[in-house]
Amino acid sequence: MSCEQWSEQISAWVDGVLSEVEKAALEAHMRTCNACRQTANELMELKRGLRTVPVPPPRHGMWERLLRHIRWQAQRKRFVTVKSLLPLWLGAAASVVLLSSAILLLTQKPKVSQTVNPQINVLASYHADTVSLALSDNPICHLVASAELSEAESHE
Amino acid sequence: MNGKADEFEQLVRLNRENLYRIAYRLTGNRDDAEDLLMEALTEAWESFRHFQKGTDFVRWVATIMTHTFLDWRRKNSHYELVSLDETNESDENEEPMDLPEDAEDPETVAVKRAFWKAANKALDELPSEFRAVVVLVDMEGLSYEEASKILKCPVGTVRSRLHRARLLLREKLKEWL
Repeated sequence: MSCEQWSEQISAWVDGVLSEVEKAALEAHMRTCNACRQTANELMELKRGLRTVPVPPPRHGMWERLLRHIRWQAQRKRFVTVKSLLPLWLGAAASVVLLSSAILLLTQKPKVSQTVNPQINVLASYHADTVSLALSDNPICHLVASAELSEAESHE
Repeated sequence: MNGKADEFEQLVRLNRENLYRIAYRLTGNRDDAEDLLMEALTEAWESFRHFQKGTDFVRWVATIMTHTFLDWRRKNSHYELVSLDETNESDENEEPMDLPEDAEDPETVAVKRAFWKAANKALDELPSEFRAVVVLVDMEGLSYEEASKILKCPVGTVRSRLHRARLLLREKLKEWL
């Protein structure tokens, strides 16, 4: 095995993760190889040095900004949940109103005969257009309606 | 706020130093660290209902944070260059958090500072996947198995990436080793 091939073993040796057999083989090699011994020393020193690299403190007010953002997210999520349910509630309310109206319309009998002139009942049975004419304020329409009524009566 | 949000906020407050340290080490500067935390914590909050009690909160957020960081780098190739410039300008003037407390002679302090500066630059120049594994194993002290869970890759991949990353860092930091 060349020194290059040993180097990954050296990296694992630095971390103490080699098996006993691998460790014994590598240490035997390092006893006779200056280059690999030097690699091992450098990698150990590198690992030790990296742990000393300091971390500067965060920007002023960073945690307040982060936590404010999280709180805002939490509130927004709750609002969005309520908002997303709103169409369902509106839909349900609209369905109830429509259903109630339909039931009312179906159960109520038409009361046209009680409120409209009895003459119009006769007209209604003959021709709907004649009804419109009879109800109109235009005197000419009344004349046309009367003529149609006479014709209807003569047919009966 | 509801109970779940309070619980989340409390966990963030309790672990804020660890969370910030990982974010800083991944990004290499404070502005990006804050952005990374913002995005990762927002995502963590959104999936907090799946968080099981007894789970290590820092590891859980670190997983989200690491993948967010890798996604950023994959999506935005400019990111690395921007971060490089910002790192040395914006953070250099700030007093580091954990400077040695013992009074050291100025020469030792100067050498340490020079090494830290070179190490930060060398870390910035690493490919993102290599940086992530160096941060998790060498800087945060995680095992290969823990790093493989966070990175969602086999232990063998962690081992080979770490080795290649160390060889690159050794080349760049040779004068300090």
